Amino acid sequence: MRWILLTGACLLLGAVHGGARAQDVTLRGFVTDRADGQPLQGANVVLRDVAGPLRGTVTDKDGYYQIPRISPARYAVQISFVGYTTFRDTLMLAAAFVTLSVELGPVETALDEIVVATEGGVTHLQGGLQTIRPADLARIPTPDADGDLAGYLQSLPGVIAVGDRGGQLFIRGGTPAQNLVLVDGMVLFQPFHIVGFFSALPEDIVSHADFYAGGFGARYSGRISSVIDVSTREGNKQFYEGAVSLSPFLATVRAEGPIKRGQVSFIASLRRSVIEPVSPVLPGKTLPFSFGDLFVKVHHTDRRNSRCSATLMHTYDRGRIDIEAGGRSDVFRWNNFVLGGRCIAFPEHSPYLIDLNTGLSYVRNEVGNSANPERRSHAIRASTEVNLTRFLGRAELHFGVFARMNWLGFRLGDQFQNLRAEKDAFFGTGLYFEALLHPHDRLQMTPGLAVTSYPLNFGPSLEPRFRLRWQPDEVQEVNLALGLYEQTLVGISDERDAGSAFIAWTPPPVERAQSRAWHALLGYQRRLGPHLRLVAEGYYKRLRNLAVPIWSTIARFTTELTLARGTVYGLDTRLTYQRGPLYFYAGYGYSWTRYLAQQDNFGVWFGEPVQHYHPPHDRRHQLNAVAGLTLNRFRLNLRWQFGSGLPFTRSLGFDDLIPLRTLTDVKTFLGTSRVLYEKPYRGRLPGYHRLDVSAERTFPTRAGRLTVQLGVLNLYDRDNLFYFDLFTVRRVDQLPFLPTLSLKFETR
Amino acid sequence: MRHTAGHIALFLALLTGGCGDTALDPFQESDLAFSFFGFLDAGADTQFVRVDMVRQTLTTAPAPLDADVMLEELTTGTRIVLHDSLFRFQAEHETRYAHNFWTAQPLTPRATYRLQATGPDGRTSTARIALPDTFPTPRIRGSTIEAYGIDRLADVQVVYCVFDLVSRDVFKHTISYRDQAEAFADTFRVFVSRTRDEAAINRVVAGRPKAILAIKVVVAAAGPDWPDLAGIDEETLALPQVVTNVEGGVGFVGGIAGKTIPWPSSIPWPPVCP
Repeated sequence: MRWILLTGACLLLGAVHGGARAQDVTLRGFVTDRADGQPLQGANVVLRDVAGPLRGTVTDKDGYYQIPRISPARYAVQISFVGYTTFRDTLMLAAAFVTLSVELGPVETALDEIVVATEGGVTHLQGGLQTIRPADLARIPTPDADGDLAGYLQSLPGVIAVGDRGGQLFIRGGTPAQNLVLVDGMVLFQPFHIVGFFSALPEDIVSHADFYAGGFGARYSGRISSVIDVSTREGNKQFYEGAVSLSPFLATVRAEGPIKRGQVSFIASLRRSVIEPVSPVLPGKTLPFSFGDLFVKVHHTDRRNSRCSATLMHTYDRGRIDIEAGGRSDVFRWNNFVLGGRCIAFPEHSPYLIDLNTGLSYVRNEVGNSANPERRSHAIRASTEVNLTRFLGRAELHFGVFARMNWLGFRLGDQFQNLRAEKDAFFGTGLYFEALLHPHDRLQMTPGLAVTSYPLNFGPSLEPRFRLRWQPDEVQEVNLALGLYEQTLVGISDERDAGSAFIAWTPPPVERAQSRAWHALLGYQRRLGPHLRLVAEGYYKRLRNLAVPIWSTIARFTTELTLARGTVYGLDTRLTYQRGPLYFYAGYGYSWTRYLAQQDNFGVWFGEPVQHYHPPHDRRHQLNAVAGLTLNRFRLNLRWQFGSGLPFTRSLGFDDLIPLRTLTDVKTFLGTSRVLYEKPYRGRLPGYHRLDVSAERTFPTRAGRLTVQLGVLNLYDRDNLFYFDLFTVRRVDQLPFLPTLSLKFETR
Repeated sequence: MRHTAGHIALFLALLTGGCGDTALDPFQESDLAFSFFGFLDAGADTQFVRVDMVRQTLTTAPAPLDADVMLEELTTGTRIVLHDSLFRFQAEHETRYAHNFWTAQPLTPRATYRLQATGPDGRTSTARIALPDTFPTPRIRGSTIEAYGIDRLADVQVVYCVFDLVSRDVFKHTISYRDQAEAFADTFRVFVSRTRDEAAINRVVAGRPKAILAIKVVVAAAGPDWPDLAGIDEETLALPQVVTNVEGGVGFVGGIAGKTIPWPSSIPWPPVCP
């Protein structure tokens, strides 16, 4: 603990006092969009002297660039971004630190013909990392006028949703509670809404997202499966804008604009589901889901060397997963609250870029009858982190310190019998270090180390990470990622119940053993001509100390937990074709996940105390195809998904167990219902496939722009099984054929 | 053009049907035909044994069990056909049913019987049950029950007939002293704590006023195949493979010789008590 704080203090002091060599100049600044003040990621910054091109870089997600170690001289500076006018100037660089923040204006003519070719998209997969942009979200048909991160993620190989409701995503063998979802740097515990097409992150508020399906770097700690790091948009700093939209699922209002023109802006979005009142008409039976979210962000820029934002987010979800059972089925509820702020700045005389992030995240989760939930859990997390970046010619150093306080409360109605306490709290702190090295123009290596300590509860953990990117030529790229990951705040769910969306956030519940994972990823991507791109990435994960329920034959809810080990491997392959108005993407995912659990009962039950089984999210094959056609104001999107059957435990039948310990009169005692199980998860549910289609047209009006979208979910009305309720011998299916009409009006 | 149409037809066929059926059979075929529970009592005049199909629903239907159930005395080959009786149980939210098969034929102490159930499809489950010898009537001295001539003890129960003065229900409450029995050679001695029993009954009636109408004691000797359940937790005990003597099915049917005696101060067991 002490040495973590000391190291952190040294890093911070270094940040303040560190400087470049006396003879060198560092040029840096932000590049933003003049029209609305949004940062421009991927803008090219080039310095030239009389001899021609000298140095160049590109802006990051915050629009920030830095070119260090420039010899003092006069330079021509050119800053360009596709679709924007190029900034050109001649500067005499003499001082140690020169700030040049630039606003680029959009090109006024022929914008429709410009294809912005920044890195990103489904086939730019680099060691598990894919950058997602709003345009990607818009390609997936959803029953709403806006695309959504939830729908998009489910179109990716390796991302499994066990059904179209419940809000749970399993990524490359991991469980939902092992995914780290960050919104502007703050944790959002349960980001996905109860209807699986939607999350709290729609297209309209997402600026971009870094999605790591594994192999993430040392900056991220505390989860063992994946990271979804979302940056939200800033409000327009020049003009007021607004949008309203309505679909059979959602009603949305968004407003944004300048508070102080050019410097301070706001953006607010409010969404509320309407599916519950609308569903008796369309599709003709009540869909008992209610959800919504609120997003507010205020952003400030001083136009020179700092950008700060404050973000507030609230989400709520309520519904019955088993819609056929009506009032007899459990009601699930959850809500999130997130409040925090982020500042990035580069002090005048420091070579560091400082990223300060502080936030409070809250989640509450309940299940049971609506008046008196049988189980509930909440988690509060307060966190502060300071991230520093230093640019050193062919290297970048990233390091930071963080402190996190977690308060937990749960009442589980004896569901998990290991968890007797009702509340807990623990404080964690740590630091990380990453070096982005370019030993060669075509080679990039990122070794890193994350150190985490929970001084009152757990010892320190050292998590080494390594990422490598090698481009042997202009058309090929090889990526490698390796790492060790630990998770202390774990989410327990009952994997025996496919219809459960309840997660209890707790400290490690069994033997205080922190969950742990090793990741190894190797990927290859290749451009096959100007329009076609192919990527394949293999992955392997070793998982340890996973808390899983113990199997019982009694038809009851309570269980104890035991520790399982896991092995995951798989292959993601993706192919995109993009030419003019046509876009096509096909993705195939192979995944193999197996747990190994030991429990005494297994020895009696199956003859050996250790059982291997494939957990219920082990989807072996996955196929996704997305096609899009954009012509002027018309857009057509199709998505077809196929998933092979998920594991389930077969039953041999039921009987009524009469207690054997005493003499029981069979005339007066019925017995306890008992399910006679086969070995866990030896059966497979039927495969799943579905075609969704949407067509939309935009109509310019004097007051703004109207978008009309017609869509159909499950076009060929396949009966896709969600889960089978053994105790009522009843199948619960996913949504049937469902036509939708969505309207959106945007004004500026 | 013909090729294009063919490709489209193939694509649609793949979409709508070619990727597998949507039907699901959640049950794995097995050779488990029937579930047996209960005990044969060499000291009773009527035998009741639970016999039900291993079924594919959690709930039960009020229909007769289509099965032939009989007892065969293995030494003499004497066969006794058991009669079906459907019992109705009111659970919290539902009515459930169970089949208890019975016979009033006397059973022979120390004999071994085979219980057999055969369904219409010929599937059969059997259990082999060895009965113990009878033993002298136990004595009750003060609060102590003493039983003699027993090799293995199946159970010692104190059974209360309780009248709930508020709900006006009469019910039977049984408390097992099996685990408190002390063994001395072929003698078992049990101390009965009436205070503790009353506290347990008070919990059942949720503190409402009640009257104990009668008390009786059941002592049962176990047959040689009676399982030793010491050290086995309830979770393990519920596993179908742990304690069973049923072939081709699940469950356990034991053999006992039971004696029932009234508690010294009690009135005879009233007919209103179940």
